Amino acid sequence: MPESIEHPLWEDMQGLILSAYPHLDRARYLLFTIENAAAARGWLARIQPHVTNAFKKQEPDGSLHRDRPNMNVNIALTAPGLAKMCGLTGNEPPDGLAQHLRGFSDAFVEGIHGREHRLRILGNVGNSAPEHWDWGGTKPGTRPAHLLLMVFADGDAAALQAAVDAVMPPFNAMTPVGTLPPTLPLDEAGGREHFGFADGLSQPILAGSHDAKRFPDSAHITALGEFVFGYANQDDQPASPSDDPCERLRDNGSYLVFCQFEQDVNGFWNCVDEAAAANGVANPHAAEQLASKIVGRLPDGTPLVPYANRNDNEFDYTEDPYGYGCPIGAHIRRSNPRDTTDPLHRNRHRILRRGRSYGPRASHPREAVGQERGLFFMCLNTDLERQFEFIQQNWTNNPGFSGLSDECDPLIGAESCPMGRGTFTIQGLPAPARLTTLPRFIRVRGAQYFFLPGIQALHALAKGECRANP
Amino acid sequence: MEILAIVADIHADRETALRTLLDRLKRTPRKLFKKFKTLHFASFVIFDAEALGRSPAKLVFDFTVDDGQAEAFVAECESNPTIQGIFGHCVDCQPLTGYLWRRKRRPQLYHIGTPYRTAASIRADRALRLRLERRLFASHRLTELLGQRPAGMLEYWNWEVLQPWVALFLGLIVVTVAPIFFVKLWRADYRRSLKAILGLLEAIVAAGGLVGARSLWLTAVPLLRDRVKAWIPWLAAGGAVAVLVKWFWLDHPWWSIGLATLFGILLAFGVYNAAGQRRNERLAEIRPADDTRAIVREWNRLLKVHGEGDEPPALWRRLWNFRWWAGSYAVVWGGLWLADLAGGRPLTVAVLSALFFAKAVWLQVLVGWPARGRWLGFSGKGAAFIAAVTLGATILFLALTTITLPRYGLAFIVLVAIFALWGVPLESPQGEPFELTRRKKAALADHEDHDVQNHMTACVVLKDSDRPIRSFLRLLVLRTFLAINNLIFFRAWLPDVCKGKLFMLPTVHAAQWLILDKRNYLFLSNYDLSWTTYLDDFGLALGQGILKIWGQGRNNPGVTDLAAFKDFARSTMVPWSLWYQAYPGLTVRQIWNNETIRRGVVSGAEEEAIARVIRRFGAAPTIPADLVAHARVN
Repeated sequence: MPESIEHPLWEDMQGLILSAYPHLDRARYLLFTIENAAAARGWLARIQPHVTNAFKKQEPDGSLHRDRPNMNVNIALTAPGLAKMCGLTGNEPPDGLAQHLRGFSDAFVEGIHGREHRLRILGNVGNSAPEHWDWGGTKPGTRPAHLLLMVFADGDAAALQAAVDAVMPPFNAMTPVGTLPPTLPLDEAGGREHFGFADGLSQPILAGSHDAKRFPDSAHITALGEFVFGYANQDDQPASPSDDPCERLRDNGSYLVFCQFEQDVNGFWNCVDEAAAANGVANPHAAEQLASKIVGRLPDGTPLVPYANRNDNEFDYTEDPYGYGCPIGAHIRRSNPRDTTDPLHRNRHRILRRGRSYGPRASHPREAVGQERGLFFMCLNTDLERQFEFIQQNWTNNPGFSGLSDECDPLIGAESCPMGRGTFTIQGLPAPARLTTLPRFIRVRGAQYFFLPGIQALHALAKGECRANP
Repeated sequence: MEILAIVADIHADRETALRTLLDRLKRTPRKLFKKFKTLHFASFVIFDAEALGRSPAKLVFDFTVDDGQAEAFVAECESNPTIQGIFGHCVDCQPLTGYLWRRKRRPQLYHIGTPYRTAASIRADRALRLRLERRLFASHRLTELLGQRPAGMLEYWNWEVLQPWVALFLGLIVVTVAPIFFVKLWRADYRRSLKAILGLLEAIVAAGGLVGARSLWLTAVPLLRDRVKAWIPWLAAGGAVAVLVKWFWLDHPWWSIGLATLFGILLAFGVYNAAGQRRNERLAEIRPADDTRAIVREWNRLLKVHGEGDEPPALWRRLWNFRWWAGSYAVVWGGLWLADLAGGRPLTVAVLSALFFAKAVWLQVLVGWPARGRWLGFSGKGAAFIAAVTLGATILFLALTTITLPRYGLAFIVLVAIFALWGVPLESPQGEPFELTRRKKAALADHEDHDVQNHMTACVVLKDSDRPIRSFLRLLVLRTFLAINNLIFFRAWLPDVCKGKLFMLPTVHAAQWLILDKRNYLFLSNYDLSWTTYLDDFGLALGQGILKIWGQGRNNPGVTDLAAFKDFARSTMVPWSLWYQAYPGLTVRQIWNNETIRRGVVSGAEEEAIARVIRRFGAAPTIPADLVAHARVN
């Protein structure tokens, strides 16, 4: 049984929940189809010691000892993958799966591609529809994704390869689903995604974590139950009120949304350059400023609201109610409206982001590299519908967001938004201005809902027990 | 806008045929309804025998039309061949003339988000806005805006600004008045027990005032709160001066009057100066540095395009809506007055106490007491609540029979007590598990989110509907509750004071509660944005209010666990068969925004007002950090 919020069982959670491992430069994500469940369980039992948990040792003087191994491993499973580990075939229809995976939400059981409505609200339509995905979708010839193996390592490519080799499953157990492109080492990425903007800046702070003690007044402190099963969530509702051992399998686990977004970096900058050039006065910074308006931050991460510097994450939009600084439809304002939503029920729709870029980094954003570039978007939450899907539907892809009309997120939503017209309004004085016919700058190449089990649950799965240990 | 429903029984053997027909029409609702110019929303829903718990299945045709147009609309429907074809599947439908109007059902409670608007004017406003937009956005001013940083928050004179002031003054009143009362009570020549009771009452009132002031203060916009903070030392100094004046010049009122006058003059002068300065600052903010007349120029360009729209009804007609509100007050006050005249004070307080007690019991019934078991088998918490209320009524009785207060004072205390009782958070009733299949959720979701507007159709089964006496009582309570709310709040307050914002949430175009029969009541709503947001908004903002209506439903789990409540609401829903929207893509907020733009353009205005109207092209305004700011229309 998970303990109280004051004493979360960090050692039973996978480390990804607490950290994106910024000290490990390299990562490799591997997707597998489980062919032989028994062999897969054997492999899982064998690599258990490698799976990183979220526990941080405390020194006698009270300071935290950061145990920094040079290799971290985390494992997540899709609903069919979980079923397969529990002795089912994994090909059951969602109703059958739901019966066996009691306590797991419909969204997880059906999968991200499972329903037309879900695809619609997430914007996975057009050329981002699942029939075009390289993995996780319905493209003929793609294998179903069952298991996601995440290997993180410090050092060079050879060190990463060695780490991967150490935990690679045997071929009789699982076969790889395609090959995901290698991630961009963090030292090369320099904290920026491919469009050239600082990324991953605003994260919720887990209540009960060390950070929550360091920043007790932060507006970002969010109940642990929003990200980890078995704890009270932001509504004070325990996420796992059941004593059903099958439902208890969720304890200390989390849902992991894993998506591969291809970024059209050249398209983005061409579009911005053209718009800036077509709008009059020669301003050498116009393109960069326009791109910043789309994102809502300067490339270095400074938010476009008054009195906020680049390291400040406690800003809100009170000081910029009309969007004169950070446009109301800007990417950061849409994906986290902060105090614009009901302040009494703040942080009910947060996600923990753990993404990394992939593909080569150009020396300059406008430079073509001739290879696919993008982002492995990863986020953790315990209620897919209230958190990840809510953000996508009600904020990012909502044409009427915060008083706007007929427009979606200019960076990741435009055009795909079923009702939007690819427009983006920039509020300002004396009158607002508008960009029209923006194309969509990202394309979904693969996506799926995974479950990141707790350590005990992984043990149980390795033994073939689809239930929590008593 | 007027909202109605027509309910007809479907022929037992024609239900499938009707479904097929509606399925075919579903794809092109515009073809069917486009010619009805006064129509806002319309839908056909089939509630089958399973949902209703008995045969025959019913066809519900609910619609919203312009004010006063319902009868004409229904007559037009009766002569429409397609609609004739639809109702041809119903019992006794020949001839259709008069058939629909006879089967109309007025809702017990309904809400309209855009009162006094016609469908034509809503569409015209959007067209006007688009025309203006094309002009506004055609010019090349993008680069001017790029380096712009916000100047900060402009001034508002509305609740946001008032809220911290109200909080401060409420707190001040409690802090200053409560001790005075205690001192007076201490010195008074009452019995000791009475003093204790009155002291307790006073402490409760003072604590309530402080809690209220604190929560008002904490939820105020931080920036505006800071402005108020700056005044606190001045207020304290003013208070100290007043006390000193009172202390030393109590016998010389000339001095105090003189001082007060002087202070008043100084204050007025300061306010005048501050207002002037503020106005200059505002003008400086809306004028770009290089061109002071840019806004006016922009405006003159826009003025070349303008339209006409409907005006709100005359003042007398709006006042007329308050007749129920006024009437209900007259009943309460008149009753008190008569009771006082007739039998002296004891009778008055007996009436008041009975009123208080009845209200408490009624509230209990509304939220579902007794949740399960026999009538007297209430839970420990229920018993504690009843005991507390009885005690409260007794204390009230005692206090009122002994204390000397004018009868209006008494009535005021009772009214406040009754309203306070309304806010008592009652425990959610325990519901039996309900069935909600994944398939049903999927079927409902497939109908949703094709547009910013959505339609919700639900059939809730009344609790205890299988027990005649209990269901009769419950139905009576529900009917009374809906009717009182409808007449006193929804008809009077909402359209004219709140301008259609239901508890400040402008997301509902039109919604109705309709008691269908002894077992079922329907909820039909046209709302904005996703279903989750809709239920979340209402579940969080007015959980107790929702509980009082939904709580009558069988298996309702209460709103404490919002996820469970949402599942319950889903389980009562039935997918609609056909739905028509007269102005898809428009949220309530945008309808209001478009109207304000039209008014602004038509009326012409000074520089500040022009800036406000032009700003509305960027986004419908919202004020952050407010209780429900994301949904606010100005």
